[in-house]
Amino acid sequence: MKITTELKKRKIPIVKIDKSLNEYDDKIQFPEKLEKANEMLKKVGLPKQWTSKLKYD
Amino acid sequence: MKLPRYPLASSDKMMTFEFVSEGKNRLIHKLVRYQPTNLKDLYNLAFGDKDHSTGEIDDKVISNNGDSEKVLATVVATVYAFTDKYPESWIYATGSTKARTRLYRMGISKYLNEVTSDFEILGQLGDDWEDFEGGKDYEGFLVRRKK
Repeated sequence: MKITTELKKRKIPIVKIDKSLNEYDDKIQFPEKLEKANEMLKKVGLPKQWTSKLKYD
Repeated sequence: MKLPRYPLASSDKMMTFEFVSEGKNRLIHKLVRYQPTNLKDLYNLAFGDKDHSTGEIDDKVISNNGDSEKVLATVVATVYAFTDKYPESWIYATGSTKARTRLYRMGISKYLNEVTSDFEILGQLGDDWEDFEGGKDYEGFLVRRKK
């Protein structure tokens, strides 16, 4: 019972690994949306309150 | 987050998550993707319904399955799982439509007290980032795990 209670309290979920999902990791979905995000990040930049020195790939 | 959420499955690298929404209408497979951007350690969160015939994600569909809070709680759970594995990561999220962005904003507002104990959250207004406040019409969100 204690274990069940503890599991319910967990914020970090227990995740089952499903290798069939591995193929998605290398796919670029929503290339337009990703491009838009990249453009926004380049234009707006990152928050000054968080940044020190960042690297562009 | 102690709210009800769906069981999660993920890829080995935990960059793709899947869960099944069990709502009033039907079972809907949902995918959450964390995609690298041009900035190191910054990922774009993409979320939508899985199209079984193509394997693609539809991020514009309105499923209307009656379980939006549970779905949102499950997406938040993926943020916990992803940042647990990649603690230095930052996550950028925005909706594919303004309505969806607003939905995300409302979800964050609703659970703000709970998640800010674990995450820093910024909202994007124009060209500026500011600490997230409820009720503001942000265009996007930036999240990182607190140390």
